[in-house]
Parts: sequence; structure tokens; C-alpha cells
Amino acid sequence: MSQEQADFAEFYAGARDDCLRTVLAAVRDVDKAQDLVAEAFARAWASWRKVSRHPAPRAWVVRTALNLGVSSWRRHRRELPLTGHDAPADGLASSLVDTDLAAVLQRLPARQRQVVALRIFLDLDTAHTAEVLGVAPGTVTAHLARALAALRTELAACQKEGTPS
Amino acid sequence: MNDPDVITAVKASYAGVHMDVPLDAIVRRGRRLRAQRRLPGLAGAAGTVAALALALAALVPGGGGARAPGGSTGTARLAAWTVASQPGGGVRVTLRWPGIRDVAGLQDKLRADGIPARVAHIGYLRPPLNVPGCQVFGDGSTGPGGISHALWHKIFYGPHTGPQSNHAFWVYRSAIPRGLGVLVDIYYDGTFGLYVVKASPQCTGT
Repeated sequence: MSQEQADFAEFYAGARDDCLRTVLAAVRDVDKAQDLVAEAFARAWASWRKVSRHPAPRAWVVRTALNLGVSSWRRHRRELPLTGHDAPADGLASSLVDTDLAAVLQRLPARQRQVVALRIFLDLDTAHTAEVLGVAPGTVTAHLARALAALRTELAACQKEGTPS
Repeated sequence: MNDPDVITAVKASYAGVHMDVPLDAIVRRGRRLRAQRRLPGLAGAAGTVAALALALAALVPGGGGARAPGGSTGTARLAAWTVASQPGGGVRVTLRWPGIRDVAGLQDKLRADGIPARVAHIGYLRPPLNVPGCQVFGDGSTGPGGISHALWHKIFYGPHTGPQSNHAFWVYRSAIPRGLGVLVDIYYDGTFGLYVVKASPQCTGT
């Protein structure tokens, strides 16, 4: 194994789960998220000399995966659905994710979900989150504040419902 | 509940999510992407995969009436793929991502058209060319036991030489020697590899 591949292998081992969780939170489908992230990592390897010098390679992978997802969705809309083709997957796999919390997260608007995922799973700062999503830093701050407030409220309600009376 | 608690709870809720795709599958795909970049004259090439492969992919948009899976003739627009007859006894297959998961339907269609064919969906979790029951012939110019590029070209290009698409290809059944068949491995993004295999009931149906 070359030094270049060894570096990539180390990056992949350390980043793959967090990237998948981030994309999963955004696209809500485990199989699709895994395909998108795998393709994004493959593209990272294909351009590793460039990506390895990126200030936030994980963010590069996630942005690539999310862009691929958008392309897929746009193409999908143009397709003529037929029985047995293009059937949507089952969404979040309940065995993988805490479903109560996942449900709370999934109820957030898409952009809020993406901001939360990037901040929580990739630990990106506001500037990098804004760069990945192509929005202004102030927009990220606003989305994050709203998302956390909504999550806090929902989680508190869930805990209250789950508390035996 | 404060913000750090929320973040901790959300983070913990995804702790069971893990990426299963092995590194070597990622690296293989990355190499394929690099190979495509290095072959600007073969813009649609699916690239070579491993020593066994004679995988150049393909081809030009063409005309012809599309056929529905399982149908004989007629025209239909399909979500997953179309198979269209071509002059000279060939067929043109067009894939439409993300509907390429119906590989069994495409395989049945090609076989119904008299092509000993195997169509496989090679995902990240399966190594390319590890298709049960199939003996794949590699590039004869790079090792013994392979087939010539000329034969591969006759089968998958026929008379065509023009610009190529990375989501469509031809198969010319008249160019397939007795005892041989074709393997189409379709990547999840709709690109593909085209291979020559030994025909057998297990692999190509005949």
C-alpha cells in the first residue's frame, strides 16, 4: 500500500461513520445515505491530492454526498415511476437509530436538519457549515438556534410522555 | 434540557450507525473514476477493474424502438432501462439511474432477445466480477486465457465508433461466438462494465 493510500485509509477509517451519520440525518434513508457517502469517498480518493489538502476533508465528503443526493432527486423526479422500479427505501432503519430521537430530528425542516447534522456529527464550526451548505454564516446560526430550540422542546415532551405517572 | 444535552442525545441516537462499505471497494471505485478521467476519448468508459476485466464501457446514443421488459416489440419509456433494436442485429441498452436496481428484468429481456447474458448489480459491498457461476475472460493482451480486444469491440461496439455515453451500450449477438456470453455489471450510479464470459446455464442461462 502506497503512502497516499495509507493516508486515505486512515482518513476513511476515522471519518466514514461520522460522514454517514451526517448524510443519513439529511437524506433519511440508510441505503441511499451509504451509497452516497461511498461514492463521495470514492471521489475523494480519485482526487485525493486535492482533497487531502482541503481544510476540512470530511466536510468535502459530506458536501459531495449531499450534492449527489440532490442530483439523484432531481433525476428521480423526471423519471416515470413504474411498478417495481424506483421504489423508495424504508427510510431510517429502526435497528440502527434511536427511533424517538430520529423522529424528532426528522421533523425538522431540511435545512435545520442539515445544520444540526454538520455541527453535531462533523463538529464543524459555523464558517465551514456555511461553506458546505452554500449559505451565509448568519443563516447557519439562525437555523441552528431554531433547530436546537425545537429539539429541546420535542425531547422534553418525549421525556415527559415517557415518564411514568 | 440545555443545548449540550440535546447535542449529546442526538449524537447518541445515531451511535449504532456504521459505514459497512470496505475500503477496497472505495479504492476500486476511485481508481475507476481516475481511469475515466485519463481516457477523454472514451468519455463513457466504465474503466478497467482488476486483472480479469476487459471493461471498456460504452457508447453512443442511438435510435430504435424501445421495448418493455418481457414484451416483444412496441415502444415504452421505462424508469429503469430500455432495450432498443438496432440495425445489424444489435440492441442498445440505456440505463436510467436510479432505476437500475431492476437488473433481473434487464437480464430477462436480453436473454429473450437471444443474448446469453448475465446482468449483475455490483454494489460497494460485493467485489466486482465475483459473480457466482460466471467465468469472466480478461483482456487477452495482458494475460493468457483472455479474449482479444477486437472480439470485445465487435460484441459491444459492432460498427460504432462515435462518441459514447456512460449510461448506454450496445450488444451485438451475432458477434458472440458459440459458447460465450456477456456479463454486464451495473454500478449503482448507472455506469457499468462490459465483459465476455463463458456461457453456461448458471451464468448466462444457456
